Amino acid sequence: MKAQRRHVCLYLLIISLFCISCTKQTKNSFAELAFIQDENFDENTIQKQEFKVLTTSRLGYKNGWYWFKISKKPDSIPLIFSLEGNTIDKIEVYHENVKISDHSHTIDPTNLALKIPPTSHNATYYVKSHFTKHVDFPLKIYSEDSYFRNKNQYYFVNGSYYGFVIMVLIVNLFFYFSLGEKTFLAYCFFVVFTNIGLTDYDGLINLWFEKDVIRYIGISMHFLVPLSSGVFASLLLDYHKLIPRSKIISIITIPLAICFYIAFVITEEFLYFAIGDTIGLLYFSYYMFLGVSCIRKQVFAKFSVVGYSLVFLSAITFVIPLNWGIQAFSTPLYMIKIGALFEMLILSYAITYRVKKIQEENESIHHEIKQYITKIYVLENELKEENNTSKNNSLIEQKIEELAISHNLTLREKDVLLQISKGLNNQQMANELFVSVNTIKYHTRNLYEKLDVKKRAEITSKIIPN
Amino acid sequence: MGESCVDKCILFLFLSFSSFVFGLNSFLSDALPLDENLVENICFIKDSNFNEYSILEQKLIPLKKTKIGWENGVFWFKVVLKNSDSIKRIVFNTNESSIDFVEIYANSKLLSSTKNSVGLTNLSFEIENKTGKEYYLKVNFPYQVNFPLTATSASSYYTHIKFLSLLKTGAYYGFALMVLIINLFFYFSLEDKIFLFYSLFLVATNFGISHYDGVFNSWLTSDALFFTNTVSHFLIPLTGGLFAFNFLNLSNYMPKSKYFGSILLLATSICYVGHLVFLNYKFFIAGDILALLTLMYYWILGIFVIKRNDFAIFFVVGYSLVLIAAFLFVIPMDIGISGFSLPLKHVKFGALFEMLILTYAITFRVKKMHEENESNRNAIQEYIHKLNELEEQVTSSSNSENKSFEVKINEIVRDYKLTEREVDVLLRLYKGYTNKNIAAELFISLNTVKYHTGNIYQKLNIENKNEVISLFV
Repeated sequence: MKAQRRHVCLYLLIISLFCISCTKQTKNSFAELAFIQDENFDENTIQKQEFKVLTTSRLGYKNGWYWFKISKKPDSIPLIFSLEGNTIDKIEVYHENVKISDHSHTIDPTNLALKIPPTSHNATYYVKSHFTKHVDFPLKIYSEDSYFRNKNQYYFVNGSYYGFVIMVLIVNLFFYFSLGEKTFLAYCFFVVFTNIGLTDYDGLINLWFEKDVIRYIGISMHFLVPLSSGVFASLLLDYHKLIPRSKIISIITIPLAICFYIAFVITEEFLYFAIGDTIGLLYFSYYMFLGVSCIRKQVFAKFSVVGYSLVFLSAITFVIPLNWGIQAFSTPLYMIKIGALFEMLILSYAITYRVKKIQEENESIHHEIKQYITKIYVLENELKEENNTSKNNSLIEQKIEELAISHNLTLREKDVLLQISKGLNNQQMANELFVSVNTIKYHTRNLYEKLDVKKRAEITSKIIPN
Repeated sequence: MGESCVDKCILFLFLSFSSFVFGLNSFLSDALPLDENLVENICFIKDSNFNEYSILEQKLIPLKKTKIGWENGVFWFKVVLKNSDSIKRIVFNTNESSIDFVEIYANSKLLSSTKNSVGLTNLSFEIENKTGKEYYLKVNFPYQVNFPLTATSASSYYTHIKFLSLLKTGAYYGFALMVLIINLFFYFSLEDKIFLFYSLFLVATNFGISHYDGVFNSWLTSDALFFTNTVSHFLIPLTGGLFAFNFLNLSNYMPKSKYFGSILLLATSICYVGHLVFLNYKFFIAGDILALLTLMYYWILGIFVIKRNDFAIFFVVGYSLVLIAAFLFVIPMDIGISGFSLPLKHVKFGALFEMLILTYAITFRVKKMHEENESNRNAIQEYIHKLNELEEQVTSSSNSENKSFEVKINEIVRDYKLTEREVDVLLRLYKGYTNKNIAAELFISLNTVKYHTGNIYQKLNIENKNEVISLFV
């Protein structure tokens, strides 16, 4: 009980720390940014336009062409303009009406990183960029050295994250193959889809696929993630039996979300995509709610609620503000990855917990079996002894038979001997054998002579084996 | 049958997916396209107090292979580049992490040195390409003399080598980390020490590997690295032997194997201590060879117990690749043969393979546990059934008249409250002893026997000896 309370405290601490780091705002202090939606401007006409000040990087769902104005102090060293998020597919940078760089000159294989030559006086840049998805302009300006130092760590850490994920995947696949339970397979699919979705956000997907393919992969992941999570959760916790309504909700929400994603593919309006994402997240929250409601009924509900809580929080505070341009939260992408790591650890622990339960059960069964075996042994022995006593009786008869042969006993004498061995007195014997007491006395006297004994007690000592 | 087919399909899909994502090909082959390498040729000479001016007058030997041998110390290299006027910034990159320091000179001017390295895991130097085609590099090799130098334009260095190699290195260590965590989880839940020993071995191996690819180089000073490198080399055979001994259950199958293993380990430790004390690289080579032999020894023992231990097959198969790779990586690198050497990534690939196989062994074990669970359940049901049957038999037979003699005696004793002595006498009366016989056997007087029999008759409410017998029927 005490340990449980400690666990709850630890969990609440983790959640609150996580929330604090999610709401942390990152301000852009190195340059002033302003934006305007494009209306067929070019590098000359744009200078006369009035820009709106950009306070955070997020502008919401109205995707398309935008112009940004970057004003900063002049610098003597070459700089790198870095834009993460994998939503900008075309970008052109103008300085004093001259195009100085565009998307084909990115020095980073996964994200946009444009090298800007140093200027001595005017450091105002105009950037024309095309957003395919959410409008997010998280510009960071680095010197070359600090950029590469930063990115070195970025790639190493991301590599570790995905290596970790691959191992989780493999462990679950192995368990699927050896135990043959579909839950493991569903979890594998969920992990694969989630992490391909994440590579779409962090741009690593650019290493392996062409831009056109990435677009469709990204979209399909957005509905495959809620779909697979639903399948996984219902297999793990038996939702469809526990709460039959949950199946209907899956059947309604997932195709609805798919419809919105298809609408996005056709119209290229990101609004539909944002709606689809929101539906997916609502579906996810519904399953979280279900998990919380059966936390007392199922051990694994506890594991999955605890495991998924961080991913859930970070996914909601990452995707919703990004898609709708809400500026209150700005969870960075790596928080989702931390949440996902936490989730994978908890669920891996759940596996070992399950194995532990199996082992304990095995041990208790072993113990029980031992008890049963000793009981059976005792009972069998008892039975054997009983057989022995019945054998005893037959032994007495055998002995009498032997005596009859060795001492030439008559049939009647044999009968009398048998009765004596049972401990009957003369009167009882007479009744038993339907003869008079005198006849019995006659027979016994003959018996005494033939067996050479003087008393009845001596007869029994001859018959009963020691 | 159909289901196993589906399983195989899924496995195949997953493997092709992962090899695609992981890029096994690019994992095993060098990421840099050949035509991007700007090095025309390299010459070298062992340092004997040259400086950046006097080196210009020396006659240098052309470097044909990257490995020179075990004569560790300071070397000078002269690097001639291809025509590269259009490239503004050049990166010199060495994939060898044991190099201590590098100084790059052109026209007798120092351009860059170790502290300016832009590499996280190995030494890479970015310099401006204004000074011509000839560069002199002064390099200190505290261990093996291996100098795989490439020179590329800065952008192709970052996009082709740096980021991707870091991604892969990271993926490898993330993978290993997860294996470690899984094993620790299993150790805590099943409390089987084998998991702990495996975790320790895993940590030691990857700590050793991290010294080769230089992940820790940016965190530790070179003195600390010198120490930790030697320690990690010693910990690998130590923890490996411990793990193998327990995993293969050798204490059961061949208890004497322990002694030879300990001797090998002792010799290894002496070599490494010698290296730490005398700072002589030859000790290190001997230690490495002995360490590898120790691992080989346990691997061969694994082959011997394959028939007796279900898990030995996992051990033998799992460690086969990494052991071969380690032999072909460490020994040629230590003594400087480059004919049949393998690069580090093959060792890592072998290690990944090993981790996969041993993780599979865990799931195999869990599967066995599951099967045992099921068969146990069946067995327990059988036992319960049998027990019920027996109990029925016993109760039915105890209802019948055939009660055993002892049960009867006990009943009499209980019902009539006989003393111990009275029971002794009663038993003899039943057997037909005379009073005299009883007195002789129990070492008591005839009167005492009579006293006891009197009590017995009274308690059992009988009149003579003959009725004693009828009591037992």
